[in-house]
Amino acid sequence: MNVKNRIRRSANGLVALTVLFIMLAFGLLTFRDGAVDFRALICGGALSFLLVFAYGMMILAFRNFDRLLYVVVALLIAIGIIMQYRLEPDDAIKQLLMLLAGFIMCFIVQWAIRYHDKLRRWIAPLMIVSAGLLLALLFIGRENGGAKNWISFGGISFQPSEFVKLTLILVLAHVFDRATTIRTMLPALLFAAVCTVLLVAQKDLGAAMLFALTTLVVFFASTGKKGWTLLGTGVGLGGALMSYYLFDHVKYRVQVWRNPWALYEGSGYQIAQGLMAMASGGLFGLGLGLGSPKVIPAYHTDYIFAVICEEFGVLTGICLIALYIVFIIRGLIIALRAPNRFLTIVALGCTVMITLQSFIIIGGVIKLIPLTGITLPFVSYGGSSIVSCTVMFGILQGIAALSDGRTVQEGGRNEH
Amino acid sequence: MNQDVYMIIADLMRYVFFLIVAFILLRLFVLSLREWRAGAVTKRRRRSVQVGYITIIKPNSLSGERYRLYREATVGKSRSCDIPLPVKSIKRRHAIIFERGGDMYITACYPSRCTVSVNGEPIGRGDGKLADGYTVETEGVSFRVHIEEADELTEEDENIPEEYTDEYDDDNWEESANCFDDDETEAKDPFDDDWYEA
Repeated sequence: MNVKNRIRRSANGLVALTVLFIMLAFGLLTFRDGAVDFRALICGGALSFLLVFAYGMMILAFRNFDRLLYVVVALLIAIGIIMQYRLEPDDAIKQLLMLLAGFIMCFIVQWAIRYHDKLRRWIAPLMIVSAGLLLALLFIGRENGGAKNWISFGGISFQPSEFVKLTLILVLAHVFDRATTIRTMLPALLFAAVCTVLLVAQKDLGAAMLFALTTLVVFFASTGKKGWTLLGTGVGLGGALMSYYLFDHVKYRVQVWRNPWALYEGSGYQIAQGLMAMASGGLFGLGLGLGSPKVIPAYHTDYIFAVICEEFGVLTGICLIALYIVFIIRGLIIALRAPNRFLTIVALGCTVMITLQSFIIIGGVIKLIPLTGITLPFVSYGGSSIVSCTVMFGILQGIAALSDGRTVQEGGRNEH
Repeated sequence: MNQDVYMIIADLMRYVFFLIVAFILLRLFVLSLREWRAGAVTKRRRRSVQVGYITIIKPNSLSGERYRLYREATVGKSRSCDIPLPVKSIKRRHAIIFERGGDMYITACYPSRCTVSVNGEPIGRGDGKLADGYTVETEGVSFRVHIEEADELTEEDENIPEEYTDEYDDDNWEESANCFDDDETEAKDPFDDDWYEA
């Protein structure tokens, strides 16, 4: 059996195993409160059906999609929804509905990516709309968790920065694809800088850091200019240092990070509780439903990693980090096999964006870096987050399906 | 269910959950690694198809030397290049010669710092098309390209059976892609001596 066929068969088995994982967890949650909770079984069944149905549809519609990447994402989503249900069953059902919307968007994007040449003309208007949205947040944004990054429109709230992420990736790829000098790259770099500054102004530091780092990584990977990358890193560090002295909330975050125990009664409470939760979980965790995660503020969004470590154990937490590493590997394989340079950079951008986001928030939760409030991709509760993540997943799968499974990008540059 | 019974089951299930996640993760790593290695073998097979050879014209110290030309060949000062040119003015990785759509092209690795010309015309940042008899000049080195027809890579070549993926070894591979005059590579040459004289 050749490698391709072996991967196909193994991926089918792994999806089945993910479904087993979901059903066991929801089966356990069914009996959590003494009485039988049939809603848990229905929720588990719906999630399993959605994941298997989406997998089947992808097999039918896109022969060469990346099955292993699908398994990674399915497992992350499964862990996320299980934890949501364990924390707030109503939120889990809402999240499941958003996931359904996300998968529909994912299929549309996956199909649309084959017309990327025609769709590229929409990148410039998209860029203006995105910058406008971020600017509008300063005036009409709703504050939530310290950052003014929500827009409420007709009873629906969403986080524009989640969608600007996609624009940033497309703009970077569109410009870096053809540009050879820094002068020609300026529009993309300026757009990234404007977005980052606007996000800092809204106190959305996590997203600002994510935008800046993604731009740097994608810039270096697509141009190979070491000097300019170092200069960019320097400018980023300078900006971070400046914001430390200019903005009180940045200074406060760093203080809390350095010693959360000193501010335990105040803003250090969250980090301290998160660390205690992870420590109390030990290697194998306390058991699903047996922890007390609700003492941690933002337990179902930013701090979901601590909750997972508490109930599933630190070893499962490490596995979760390793899953994001597999995501990087799969993303890079897709990027290297992409049929042209534009799609290579788009695939790289999506991979970098998702994995950096996960490392920034996990780093914050385990007190490796100052905590910045962003969601854990595919796992945390949040409609905008899950939709934007599944769209990026759809872009990656669309690119994987375009490279017919055997086209390795030729040496040198591509034809335009 | 009694709360105590639930606690016992949940306590036991945590090991099951960890084992499932760890197993899936392990399989993902192993399969990704296999795929990566199979891809590397495909690339090597693709590269290893000889499409002709080049003859050095300048500098005088290398004049007359012949190097095999593969579907993908790197040119540079580094010994790990397919066409290693021990000339000071040449970069470690100077240029790449590659096949696209049945034609051969050359592209400079550092177009801003060195010029590559094909038949006297600088290629700049683009790709310079090569054909039999064309001359390439770059930083004090010039060589003539001799290209022959090569068979297209078949579907079978791409679907490499798993057992093949262990056959190749990175360290030994580079050595086989070198100059004609190298005694070590001469023994591995699939073509006889008359091939390039024909």
